[in-house]
Order: sequence, then C-alpha cells, then structure tokens
Amino acid sequence: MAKPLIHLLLVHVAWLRFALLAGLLLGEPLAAAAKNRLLVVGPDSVGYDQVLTAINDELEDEFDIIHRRVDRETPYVDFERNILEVQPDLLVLMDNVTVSYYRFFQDRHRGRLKFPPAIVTMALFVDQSIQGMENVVGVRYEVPPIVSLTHLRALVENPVERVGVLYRAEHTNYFNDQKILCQREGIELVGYKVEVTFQKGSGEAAGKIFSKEIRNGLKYLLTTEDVDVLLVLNDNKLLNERDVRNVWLPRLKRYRKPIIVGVETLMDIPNFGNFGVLPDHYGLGQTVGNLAIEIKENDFVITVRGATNPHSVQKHLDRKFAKKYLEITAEMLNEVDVLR
Amino acid sequence: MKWLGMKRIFLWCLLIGGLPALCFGQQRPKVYAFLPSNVRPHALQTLVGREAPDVDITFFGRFREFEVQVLQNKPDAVLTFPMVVEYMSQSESLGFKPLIQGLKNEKTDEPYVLLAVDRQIEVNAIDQTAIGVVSLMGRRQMGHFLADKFKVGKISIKTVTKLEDLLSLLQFEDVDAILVPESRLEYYKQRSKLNLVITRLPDVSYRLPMMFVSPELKEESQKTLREALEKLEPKVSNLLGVDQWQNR
Repeated sequence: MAKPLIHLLLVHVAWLRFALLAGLLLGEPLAAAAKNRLLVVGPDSVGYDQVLTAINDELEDEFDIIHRRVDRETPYVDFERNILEVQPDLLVLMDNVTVSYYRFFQDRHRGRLKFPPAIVTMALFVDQSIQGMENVVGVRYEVPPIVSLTHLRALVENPVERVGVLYRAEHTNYFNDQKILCQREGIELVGYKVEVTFQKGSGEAAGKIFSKEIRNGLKYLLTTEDVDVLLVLNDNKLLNERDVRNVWLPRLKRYRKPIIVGVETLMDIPNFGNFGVLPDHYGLGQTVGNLAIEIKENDFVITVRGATNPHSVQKHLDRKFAKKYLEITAEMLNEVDVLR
Repeated sequence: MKWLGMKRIFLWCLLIGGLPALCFGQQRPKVYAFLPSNVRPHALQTLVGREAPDVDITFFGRFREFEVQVLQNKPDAVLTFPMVVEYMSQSESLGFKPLIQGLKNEKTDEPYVLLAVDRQIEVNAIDQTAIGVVSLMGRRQMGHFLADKFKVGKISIKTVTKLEDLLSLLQFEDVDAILVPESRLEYYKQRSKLNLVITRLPDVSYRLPMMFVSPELKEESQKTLREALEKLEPKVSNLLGVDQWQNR
C-alpha cells in the first residue's frame, strides 16, 4: 500500500518542481499577486533583524515581503528551493554566505532562468563579492572614511585635516577613491602602503616582514607625518591578533589623538579605538529600501552599477579619552550614540 | 518565620511603590514624542525629562517605532509634527486634539529649502530631481506629501532617519538635493565644506511641532503638560525645532 503513495508523492513533487521552473523560464509568476514579491534571505541574528525591520518599514506598502532564514548551516538546496518557490521580483541577500550561494545559483542556471535583480547587504567587501554576477547591486557594509571623518570633525574642535591611513597594496584603488572623496570635504588622507613581496623564507619570516612594515607605517604616519587623526581600516590581515598585540598597541599606547575604528571589538581594546563609527543596521535597511524603490520604478532593471555607500552610522566615543584629550562640548556629546 | 519574611517584603514593596505616588500626588501624563533632530532620542529624553519632571516623556527616533507604540500603548499625549498625527488619524481613530502649538519667529510654519552641491535646483523640473528627505511618515506617504507640496504628480525621494544622514546622500551624489528646514541651514554648513547652494522654495513649508492630547485627559494633566512645555529652556525648545509655545 505504501509504495503507490510514495510514488504519487514523488510525481507530485516532480510536477511542482517543473511548474516552478516553467514559471521562472517564462518570467511569469504562477499566481497573479497584487504586489511585487521581495524575498529576503539571510541569517536571523542580531543586526540582521534591524536590517529586516527597516526593509519591512520601508517597503511593506510596495512589496509582499517574504523572509527566509539562510545561514552557514543551511544547505545550498534549501537556498535554491526558496528562490524557486517564491519566484521573487526582487531579491535581497544578506551576508557573504547567501552571496556565494547566489553566485552558484547563477552559474547553475545561467541561460535557462531569468535572474531577478538582487541587492546585497551585510556582506564584507561587497564590491569584490558581487563582481561578475548578473543583475546584482550592493550596499557596502564598511563606513567610508569621508563619513567617519565628517562626523568626527563635527563633534570636536581638534583639527581633522590630515588623516593617516595604513592600507595594503590590494586596497590601493579603494584608498585612492576615498582620498578624492575626502578632498572634497577639505580633508587630506595621508596613506602608507603596506607592501610586502614574499620571495623567500618560511611563513614565520614573511609574517615578521609584514609586522615590520606595519610598524614602519605607523611610525611614518604618527611621527614623520604627525597626522591629526589615525583612521584604521577594517582589514583582518592588518589587524591580525599578533600584530595588534605586538605592533599596533605598543605604538598607539602613547598616541593622544583620535583613532577612528569601524568595528566595536576595536573599541573594546584599551588604548586602541577611541572613536568608533559603525554601520547603523537600520540605516542599511533603509538604503536597501531606497535602492529597491529605484529598481521597481525602473521596471526591475538595475541601472546603478556596483555598490552604494551606507548613509547612516552609529557613533561610539571613549568617554575618558574624550574628556582628557578632545575638545568637545557637553552639547556635542548629545550627538553621540554610545559613550563608553 | 517564612510568613514574617513575606510580610516584610510586602511592606517594602508598598513603601517603594507608594513613594512616587505620594511625591507626585497623581500619575504623570505619558507623552510620546517623535521629532527627528541632530540630538539622539535618549539625550533629548534626558534633557526634556530633567526640565519637565512632571511629565513622563519618551522620544522615538523612527516613525514606525513611534506609530506602533502610540497605537499599542495609547499615551496621554503626543508631541510631533501635525502632519504625522493627521496621517496616523487617517487609518486609526486616534481622537487626539491639539493642545499647544510650537512657534518659530512667531509663525506656526517653517519654510524649507533645497541644498545642492555647486548648483541651484531648477524648481520647475522638480519631478526630474532626486531629493533626500528625513522620513516623517514612511516612504509612500512622505512621497505623496511632498508631491502635494511641490504640486507635481510624482516626486523621486530617498529617505533617511537622521538629519545628519542627509549630508551623506549629498557627499556620495546619491541625490541631486536635500530638503531641509531653513533653521537648520547653519547645521549643514558647519558640518560640510562642500559648496552647498541654497534653492529657496516659497511654497514649501512644514507646520511646526505640536502637542496633541487624548480627549479623556483630565484638565489638570493638560495644564501640567502646557506648563511643562512653556517652561522649557529656550535651548531645549530649540532642539525640538521651536522657540516658543502657544496655547490652542
């Protein structure tokens, strides 16, 4: 008795799969819906919920919003099933895992399916992650220096004119773009390129050369150039645990000027970040909302290229450092989100 | 022994719970406020709370948050822009009535201007212009409201939650211009070294913030609220976007 039932079920699943694929191939949804469908895929954790809240707040009048949880533990097949089932008019991908799944999805179905436009957010280095993908645009997670620096300048009386930035050779283009943007605001970015060519030696030897380069860079920026502010980029390689402990901290211990960081953990290290400019997750969702409307109004065609910058930030300030070394009025402290 | 312990706890609770009631004589009127500002909501709450201890005021930084809390908790009063209450009243019977009106330069409305980088905005072609605005009522409603103000069928807007975020829209050229109240021009000019050019809009203004109260609110509480606003330090009133309060 059980055999025919299983058989029926399998036939039913096969039909459903066929119908869903046919729907995508024709570019028509199976059932007519009053609103366009927006599928959001990503984790459920803290931060993501804020983005999702903003997307709901901004777009609930315009779209039927469907959220499907996809994280590191979710198998790819579930991710694919979600897209095929929902057949979204617009897709929002939150984090790097969903981006890599969607890249695989595109490779797997290229030429057979029409890919809906997709917006990527909450992913690190979004410009690189979406490169080569079809119909995808991103909202950067990293706060651009121009935003961090304008906020700092508005808060304090201390000079914010020459700002030191340590960056790796791989990020030269990024640094140059930011330098131009900052110039418009009358801020000069003074860079030190950490460039190491590993010809010989073990990994440990190479690591030592790299550490030495960071040390030289910090010495150059803080002493030779005597910059007004040090801006630390979110670069895991420059900020590896060993170098933070052995190179950064000893050098920054006696530095009495603002050190801007873009992640909360660097604010937690004593004598490291004293001014944190972190992405505002609700604001990221709002930027996604702005892009979604733009795409919808353009008949679901993406006109913007690459990635958009985040507009909203959360400002964290080290209270003790500010009191001792910054010229800041009590009134301006009211513009800070978190005083630590 | 156990019973005595319980009795002691009960008496403590009575004492702690009863003290505020004895001090204030009655419950403080509960006010929800939504007035986007450069000052963070928690800081505004502290500043206003300090000057108006007889009022239980909560500031919200986002419209949706404010809307949900107002509908769920039904506060005694709300402090916000009249258009926000008007919009909320379209779908829910809130029944709030105006109590006190904010004024600036003795006027109940404030003119708004467009700020753009290096150029004036062609107001005749406003429907072709992308404008950054602080969202006061959700995106769709904000779009309708502004299209109405500019007397066009449709307007292209990008919304943000905080005043400071408008500047980022200009810095990255994501919009052609931002819409700001005239009184905030200095705020933007001080923050940025971009060449910000003003386009005056003779027909575009917003009604200034008002306090609305529930029709059931007792006259005594209404008086408390009126006095609290009227006694605010000019500096604090300015943060709320007004320089004077007028009874309605």
